[in-house]
Amino acid sequence: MNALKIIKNGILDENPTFIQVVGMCPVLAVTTSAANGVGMGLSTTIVLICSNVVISLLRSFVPDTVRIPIFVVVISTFVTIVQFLLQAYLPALNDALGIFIPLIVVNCIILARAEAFASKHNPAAAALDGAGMGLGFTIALIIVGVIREFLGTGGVFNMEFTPAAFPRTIIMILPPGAFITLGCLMAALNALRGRAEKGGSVNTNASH
Amino acid sequence: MFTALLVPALLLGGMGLLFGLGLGFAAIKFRVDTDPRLSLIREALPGANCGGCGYAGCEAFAEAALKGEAKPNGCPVGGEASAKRIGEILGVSVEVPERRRAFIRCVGCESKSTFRYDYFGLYDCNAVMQLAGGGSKSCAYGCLGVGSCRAACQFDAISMVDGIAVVDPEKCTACGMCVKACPKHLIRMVPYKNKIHVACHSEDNGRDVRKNCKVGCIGCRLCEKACAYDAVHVKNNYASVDYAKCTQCGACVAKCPSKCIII
Amino acid sequence: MSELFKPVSAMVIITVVAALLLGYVYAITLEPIAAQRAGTEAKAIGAVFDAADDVSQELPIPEGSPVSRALQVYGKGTLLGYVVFTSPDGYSGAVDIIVGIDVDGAVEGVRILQHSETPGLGANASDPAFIDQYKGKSGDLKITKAAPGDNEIQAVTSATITSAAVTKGVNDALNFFKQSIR
Repeated sequence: MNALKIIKNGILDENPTFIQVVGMCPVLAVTTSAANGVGMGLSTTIVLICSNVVISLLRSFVPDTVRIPIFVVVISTFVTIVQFLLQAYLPALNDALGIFIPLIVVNCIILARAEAFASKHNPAAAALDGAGMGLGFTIALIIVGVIREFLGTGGVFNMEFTPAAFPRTIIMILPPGAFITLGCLMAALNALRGRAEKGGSVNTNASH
Repeated sequence: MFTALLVPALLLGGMGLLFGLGLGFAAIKFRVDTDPRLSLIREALPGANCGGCGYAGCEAFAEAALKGEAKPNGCPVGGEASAKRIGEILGVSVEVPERRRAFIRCVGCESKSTFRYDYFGLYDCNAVMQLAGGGSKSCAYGCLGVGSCRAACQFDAISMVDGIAVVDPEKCTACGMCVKACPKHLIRMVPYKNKIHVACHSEDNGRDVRKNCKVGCIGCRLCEKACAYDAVHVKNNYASVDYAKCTQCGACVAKCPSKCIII
Repeated sequence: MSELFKPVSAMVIITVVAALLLGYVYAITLEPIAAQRAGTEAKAIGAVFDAADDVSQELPIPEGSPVSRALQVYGKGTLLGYVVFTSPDGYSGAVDIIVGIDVDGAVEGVRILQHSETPGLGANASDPAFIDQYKGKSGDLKITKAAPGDNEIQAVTSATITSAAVTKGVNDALNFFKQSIR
């Protein structure tokens, strides 16, 4: 499989957040600021790539009966390692992401890709798929995070640049704002995709 | 360092041992014996779960084929390839079905036919049919162009051209979902190799047809007379091709005054 | 029984390898993690008592006290005050704070060490505009949304829970001072 095609698949055609709609918990919870979104996205991407590679390497040794426990052991090992590293070298990010770092273990995306892709392809392809999906996820987090942070606090990446008169819609950085942002984004993207697929708007003989 | 490694290793390894044994025993105790041919058959199918075979999905068709209830060539999407493979797996001989495709019996496009009213509403032909007069098209037998067939097609073979539906014979797998979807029963399965078709099934007499559409079949019988092979007949005020007899000479196409026989 | 061998051996081998890897990473990050915590602490104490150079004397904490640690703060041999550690419950988890109290029982300063409050809301409790309000207070403090009176602290807009948590922590520290040090 073409390397670029695999990565493009993860970012566009099968974007985990907007197309597959998996792993939504962190998308809603962690995007109170764009920086947190980036941090979570990159942490998940690292775990995704590592676990995809290892699971791909193990694919011929793992019997079907214990497939799922072994996937989970591999994934949780990498998440724990990432957590230790964050605590040691990036404590601010660790505090900001809080409980959502351990929750990367049960992030649907990782187990889904392990099951659907990594266990059936070679390590190189698996790594690329992990990178693609992780990037797609990170981009989704950034988009949602930027929108929420900008509307909620008047700035992005903790830099305020709007005048005080610009309204700060506090609800955007609270949970309802997450759902509203996500819902609007998915509706917009579906409309764009629908239009692109069907080649123009549906003609209902409005010219008569 | 050593103790820091030993404790986790023993703990996790111990749990691994426990769960491995548990799962191993469960796999033995709860094993379900399946015919290995079942998964082979399923793999021979395209996996689209379109229902064109008449069963609930590829898995259901595979089971039926294994039992002998379904013919090995029953999958129209898989076509020749899957029919042969399934025949191999089951050890039976298989007649390869003739390739077919869907054909939409209407050329009354927007520029050539009239509409009673403008329709704004649900993009579903069934919904349009609920309205007055059985839909917005003046001709009761004409294609509404709203695209329920396109939505039903899983293989992207139907597109809207100038307000009516058109099937791409290359992409069509003859699964039959569009035939079921069309509320006007416009769509027919025809043999792939036949290129001549009558694109109208209006049972109205010639004058009424002309009022509603410039290219509808008026039942004039010029095609029937032009055909040297007795392959075109007009019944119920519209012409249809007998595909077994048609030699694809094109005489009827040339003679048709409405230009509704297409090639 | 040989059917058991494959799943069991796969499980045991992978879990043991995973455990060894985890143990190793844990061991090598133990120091940096401790250093991080110590570093944040030292910075915070320095921010509250900028003449501090010795915080080695720990005070005993009574059973059941919400306070987790208390240190005597010396600067050039003189007792400058005390630093009390406490972790009141905020909006999304505990908020670790230190409260600096001078020898007379008034708040010298408050710093938030660790929190998981909402960015843009509760996280703004770290801003000087809010946290400096505690300086000089010594009574039983309450949160208010309007202009604060004598023993009142004005809450961060839309972050009443976080503000109340910090205030509770400061009150706990002041109570500890009144009961155990005075």
